[in-house]
Amino acid sequence: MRKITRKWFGSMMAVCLAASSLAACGGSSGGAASTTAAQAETTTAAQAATTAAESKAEEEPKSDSKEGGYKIGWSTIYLTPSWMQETSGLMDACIEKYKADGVISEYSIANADGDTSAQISQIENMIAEGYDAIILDAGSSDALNQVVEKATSQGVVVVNFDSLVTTDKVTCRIGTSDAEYGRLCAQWLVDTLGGKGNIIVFSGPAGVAVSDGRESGAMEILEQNPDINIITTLHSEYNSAPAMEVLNPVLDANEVDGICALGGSLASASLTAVLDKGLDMIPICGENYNGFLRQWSDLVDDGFESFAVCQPNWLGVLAVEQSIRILNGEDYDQDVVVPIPAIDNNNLSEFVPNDYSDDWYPIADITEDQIQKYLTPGA
Amino acid sequence: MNEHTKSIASLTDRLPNQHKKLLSVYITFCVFLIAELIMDPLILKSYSRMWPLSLQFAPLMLCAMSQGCIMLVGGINLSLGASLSLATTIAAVTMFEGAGGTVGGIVATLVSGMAIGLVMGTVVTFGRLPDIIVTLAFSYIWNGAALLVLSKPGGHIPSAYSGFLQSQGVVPFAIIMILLLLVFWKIIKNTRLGINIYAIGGNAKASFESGIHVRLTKILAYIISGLFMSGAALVLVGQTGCGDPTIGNAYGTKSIAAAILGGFSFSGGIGQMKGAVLGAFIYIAIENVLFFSGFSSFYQYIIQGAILIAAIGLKVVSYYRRGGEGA
Repeated sequence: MRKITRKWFGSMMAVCLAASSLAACGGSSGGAASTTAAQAETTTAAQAATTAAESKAEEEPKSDSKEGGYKIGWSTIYLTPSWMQETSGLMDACIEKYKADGVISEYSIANADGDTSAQISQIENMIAEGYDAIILDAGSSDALNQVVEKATSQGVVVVNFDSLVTTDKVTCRIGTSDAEYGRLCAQWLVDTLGGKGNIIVFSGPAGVAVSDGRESGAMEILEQNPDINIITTLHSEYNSAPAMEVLNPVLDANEVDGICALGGSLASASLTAVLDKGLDMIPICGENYNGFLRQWSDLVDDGFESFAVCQPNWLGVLAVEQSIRILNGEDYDQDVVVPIPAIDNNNLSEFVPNDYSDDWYPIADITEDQIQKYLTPGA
Repeated sequence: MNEHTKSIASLTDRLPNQHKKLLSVYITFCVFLIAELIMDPLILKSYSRMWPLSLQFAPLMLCAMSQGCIMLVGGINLSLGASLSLATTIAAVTMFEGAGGTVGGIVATLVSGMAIGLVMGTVVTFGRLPDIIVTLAFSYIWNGAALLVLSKPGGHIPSAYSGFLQSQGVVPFAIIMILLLLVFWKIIKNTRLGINIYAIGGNAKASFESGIHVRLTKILAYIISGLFMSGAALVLVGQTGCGDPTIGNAYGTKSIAAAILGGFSFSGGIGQMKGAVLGAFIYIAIENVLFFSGFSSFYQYIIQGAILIAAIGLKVVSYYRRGGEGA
C-alpha cells in the first residue's frame, strides 16, 4: 500500500509540475502585460527613441505613443482557410503601419476555429481585457448579437466585416452584397449570350444566407430576360466533387449555352465537367479562385469566356482603418457596402500567371483613394 | 520510507475514498484555477466578471456531466454536439415571451433532451449495438433534425430569459443550476439506480447475473445524460439569444476530453460528476490561460494538445501502476 501510494503521489506531482511550469511560463510572459503588449512596447519604445533622437525632445514622444496607442483585437471564426490567411496577412501589414506610428499599441488575433460559442467567450475575454476595438468576422449571424451588444454598450468599438451579424447595435458593418454578387454574374452571362439561350443556374446549398442571397440576385436579372431559358437551378455545397455529381446528368441531357455558377468551386467544377465531356466552350461565370483563373487563362485561346467576382480580402484592412477612424472620433456610416471587384477576359492577364498556389484568391491591392471613398460617410 | 512520505501517506489515507480518487483532478484544478486568476486578474477585482465566466464554463460542465453519465455505463456519446445543437433549436422555437412561455420552452427543451437520450439508449440496448456506432449514426440524425427545426441561426429566446441568466445577483444562475444538478446526481447515485449504473459499467455480465436490469439501467443513464445535455442547451441559448443548428458541434469532442480530465474512464464504472465539472473547468481554463498569454493561436493548439496529453496521460499511468483499481 505504502509503495503504491508513493508512486501514485509521484505521478500526481508530475502532473502538478507539468501544469505549473506552463502556468509559470504563461505567467512570466503574461501577468500584467501580455506577450504582444510587451512586443508592442518594445517597438513603440524603439520608435520613440528614433523620434526622440531626431526631434531632440527626450521624454514627450515616448509618453505620447504609449498613452495614445489603441488596443485592437480581431476575433475570427476561422483563420486557416487560404482566404482568411490572405486577409490576415493584409491586416497585419496595415496594423504594422499603425504600430510604427504609435496609433495602435497592441493587436491580437483570437481564432474560434468554427466554434461560435468559443467566439463568444473570446469576445467576452476581449471586453474584460479592456480592448478599445474588436474587429469581427462572425461565425453566426444571430448567435453573436448579444455579446456584440454587450461590447458596444460598454463602449468597445465593434467593426464587423465579411460574415456579418444582424444586430443594429454593432458599431459598423463592412461587407459586400450577396444579391449584387448574383446580379453581376447573371448580367454578365445575359450580355455574353446576347440575351438569349438555355442556361443552368448553379447555386450553393439551399437554406444558407449567402447562397440564397446570390441566387435571388441572379434570378432578379434572369427574369427580366424572357429569352433566357433556365433549364434548371442546381444546388450543391461549395465543393468541386459534389458539384460535378449534380451537374453531370443535366449536362448530358440538355443543350446548354451557358452556366451561371454562383461560387468559385461551382464554376471550377462546371468548367471541368464541360472539358471532360468534350463539349464546345460555353460561357461560365465564377470567382477569383486561383485554380479557376489558371484553367480560364489556359483556355482563353480556345475561346473560353468567363467573369470572376471577388469577395475582397482587403475588407479586413477596411475594418482596421474604420476602427481607427471611429476611435479617433471621426464620422462614419454604420453600414458600408463595398462594390464587388470583378475580373473578365480583358483584365485577366493582370492576375494570372502568378506565383501563388491554386487555393489563393488573387486580387488587386486596395488603394488609399478606395479607402477614402468607401469609408467616407454618405459615400 | 522516510518521515515525509509517511506523513503524506497518512494524509491521503485519512481522505474519504471518493476524494482520494479525485486527488489528481483536484491538484490540476487548483493549478489551473491559480493560473486563470493570474492571467485574468479582473476576476478578483470585479465580482461581475463571474457572470460571463460562469456562462463560458457552464455549457461544457453540463456536457461533461452528460458525457460522464454515458461513460459510466461503459459507452461514449459521439452525438452530443449534434444533439446539443438540436436542443438549442428546440429551445428557440418553443420559448415565448412571458413567464408561461419561457417555462414552457424550458420544459419542452428538457423533455426533448430526455427523449433524445431515450431513443439512443433504446437503440443501443435493444439493438445490441455498440454505443460508439449508434451515437455516431445519431449524430447525423440530430444534425439533420436541427437543420429541419431551424435552417439557420434564429428563433426566439425571450430577452427576459437571457437577461435573467446574465443578470447580476448574488450567485450566477448557471452555477446554481450546476450545483442543483450535482445534488440531483448525488441523490440518484445513492439510490438503487445509481448503484446499478456504476455496477453495469464495471461489469455488465456480472451485474446481469446478479439480477440487475441492465437494459433499463442503461436506458435511464442515457435519459439522465440527455437531461444534462439539454441543461447545457438552455445555458447556451441564454448566452446567444437564439437557436443555432451548428453551435454544439465543438462540444462533442470537448465533452469527452473534459470527462476524461475529470477522472472518467472509457472502460466504464469509474468517475464522479464533480470530477466532470472540474474537468470541464480545467479544459476551458487551459484555453483561457493560453488566450490571455497572447501566444499565436496556432501555437495555442499545439500547447493545448500537449497539456491534454500530459494531464490525461499521467492519470492513466497512475491508474495502471495501481493495478487498475479506480482512477
